[in-house]
Amino acid sequence: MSELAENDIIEFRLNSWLENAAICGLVNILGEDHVTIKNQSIEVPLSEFVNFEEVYFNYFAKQYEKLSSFTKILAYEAEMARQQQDNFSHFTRKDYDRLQKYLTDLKRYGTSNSYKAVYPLIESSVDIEGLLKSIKLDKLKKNELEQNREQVVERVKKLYEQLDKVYVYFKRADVQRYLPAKIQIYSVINKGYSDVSFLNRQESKGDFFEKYHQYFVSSMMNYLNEEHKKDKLTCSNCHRPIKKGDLSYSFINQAGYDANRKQSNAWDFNNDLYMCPICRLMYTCIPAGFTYVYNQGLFVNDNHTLQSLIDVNKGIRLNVLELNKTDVRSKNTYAALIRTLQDQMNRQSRKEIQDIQVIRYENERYYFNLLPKHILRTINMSKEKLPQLFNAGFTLNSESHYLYPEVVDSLMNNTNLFRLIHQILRVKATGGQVYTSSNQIMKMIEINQNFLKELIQMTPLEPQELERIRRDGYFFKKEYANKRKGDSVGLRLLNALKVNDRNAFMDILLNSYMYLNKQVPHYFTEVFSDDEHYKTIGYCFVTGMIGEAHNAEGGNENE
Amino acid sequence: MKGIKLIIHQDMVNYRRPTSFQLRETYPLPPLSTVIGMVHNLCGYQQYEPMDISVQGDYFSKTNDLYTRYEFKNGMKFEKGRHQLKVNEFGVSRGIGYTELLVDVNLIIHIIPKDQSKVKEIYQFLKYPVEFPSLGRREDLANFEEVKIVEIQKQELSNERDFKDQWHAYIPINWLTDEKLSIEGEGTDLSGTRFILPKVYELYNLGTEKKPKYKRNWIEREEVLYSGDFIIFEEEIVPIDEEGDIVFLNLEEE
Repeated sequence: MSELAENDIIEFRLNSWLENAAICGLVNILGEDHVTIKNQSIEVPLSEFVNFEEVYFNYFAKQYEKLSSFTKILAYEAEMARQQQDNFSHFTRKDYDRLQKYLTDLKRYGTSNSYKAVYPLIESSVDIEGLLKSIKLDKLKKNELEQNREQVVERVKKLYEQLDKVYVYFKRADVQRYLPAKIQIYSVINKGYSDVSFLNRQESKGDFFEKYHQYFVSSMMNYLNEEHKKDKLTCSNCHRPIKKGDLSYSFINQAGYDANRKQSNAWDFNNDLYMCPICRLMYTCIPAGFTYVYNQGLFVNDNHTLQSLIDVNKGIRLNVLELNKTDVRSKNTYAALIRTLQDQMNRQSRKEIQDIQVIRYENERYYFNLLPKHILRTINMSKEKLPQLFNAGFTLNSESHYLYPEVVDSLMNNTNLFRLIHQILRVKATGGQVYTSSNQIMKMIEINQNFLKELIQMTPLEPQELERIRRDGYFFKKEYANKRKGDSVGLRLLNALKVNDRNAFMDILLNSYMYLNKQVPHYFTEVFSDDEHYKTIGYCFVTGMIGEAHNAEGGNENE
Repeated sequence: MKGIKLIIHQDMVNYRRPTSFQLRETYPLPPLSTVIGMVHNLCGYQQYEPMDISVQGDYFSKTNDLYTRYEFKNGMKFEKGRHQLKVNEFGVSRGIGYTELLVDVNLIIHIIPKDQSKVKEIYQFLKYPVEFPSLGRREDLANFEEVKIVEIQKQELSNERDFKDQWHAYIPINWLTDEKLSIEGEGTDLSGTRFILPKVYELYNLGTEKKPKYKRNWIEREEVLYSGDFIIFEEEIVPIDEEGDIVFLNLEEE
């Protein structure tokens, strides 16, 4: 760094989502206090990059600590201490079984490839692999604990001594530095990029801190030290001059193209997309910009200012963490997204948010959605209703569907919910597995109305009105002495709704009302005003017919 | 100063951002190089004719769509397992890609050639194009609703111009630094996105003289602010065409 001044500053500008995710990641890694955040760019003092690999790997290790197998391994230590403190007075069969299960996990993780790759880096006399292999705990025989308690406790105590050694090893500073980071390399970092440096198959052994430093950090420093006045090429992202176009985009997952075999992507068949070492370092921060839960990642490209970009994605991360407190589920990424967007909308009430790009990483691919204003408004209006769909779901063709992500997905794809409502009612009517109450279906109808209202001129029906229609449907079916007859009418109505046949719907309905010798409710005249009213009223009515009673109706038929 | 004013409507368009591959992303309005390319193509120019371009307009919404993607290497022989299509002995990969589309685009474009004697000629070529005009991808037809020659002059605004919710424009960045306009937004936050738009390229030979391999070196780029939420102040001097539309350019004095 001799020629470079200590206070040199590197600027990173917002560009498209990929760069934005990377910049967001860079801010996350360095911390907001260490960079200057401007409107459309960040400025980072060069000094921040001197030992960048330490903060880099440490960020991933800390951020995904909860989901890490390393945390799971160390988690038993607390239990061990408790048992020792109690002098095993409360040690039960359950505890024994749990210990045994834990040991299988410990051995499985401890001898997995990412752990094995770390052991040679540790300068220790302990043969940890051998130690792990030697740990054994015999199965508890029937009534053994009751009859031979002391013996069993002795066995466990011995085991604890071995475990102690394992923990001492795993808690060494160098193990703590390498191992959690190595685990995240294969569960998080490789979702952003692969095949280069420490992620190259041939390079999987050895010190990845050093490898990262050499490959990314040093080459950036070298670049900055070199003279570039005569360079003819420029970096496609930042337009800094470069001498050779040897750094292509292909190391980033799903970006760029095969510059050797698919040249038709480039102008005149000559690839002109390459980056400078500075941008390459930036691109390695992509996985830090995304929020991952298992195999799902999420990034919201709210790029009108850099601060809002950071805030939105921070909000998602915090919400994901909170939602995953009790239980980690992939659908929580959706919930986190919705919550964050709602927070943002509340805060920016005066300023409308515009088309926001949402990028999801699933099945090793990126999926793109745009959230236009009307969808954001729909989500905001449905604030109270959406969370009520949390535990709802149904099984179709032996595949389980969860309502919350399906509803959000439909909305994000700009489609109404009638298809989904129909599916649930159909499964419900034919006696399939449905974990959705009619109340929850009503919520979907209301959310759907919010959605429709944004798209077309329509006066939505009030929730009370909808509820009345549902009740009418419920009591309508009750009128039938033969339950099966009621069911069949419900199914026929459902079919008429699906194919959008108002005449058939009214035929069946009027016929049935005549059969029951009852007055037809007046709101059915609205069925003819337009398709949306027809379907909304129709589905409410059928929900009542097919669904169970609400508490107020004094019956607990199905639940 | 004279220029050509184009009023264009387009259905579903993609003005591709150059680094986007899996999803071919689009700029919100056509970048300068795209417009310049269209003009040059319609006029049949083989050399760059220096010109300034002002782009303003609007779109209704954005959507994503699937398309069939063909990829190949020039002269690469067909290989079973790698290529889906065999074209004579050559191989072509076929797959799907996604493209981001702007729906219902309305544009007002001003084209001001540096060489003012070319105005008439360019006008003729745009008014009576030799083939269908397209802006964006090849299939993105540009429906020229109006083509005319307009007089553009710097004028002092007698009233402030409020662009709120009307349409968007690529505003030269120095208008912002010169405080010609105010951008609506909370506190010091600006609303709008900055782009460095490509404008003019030069061919650069990567290969040898005998076996040339060309790439484009972008020699002119323009930094603009894309915004639809701004007010240009009263008494500011800005270029205006004879119909009263603002031209978003830094015109040199005549």
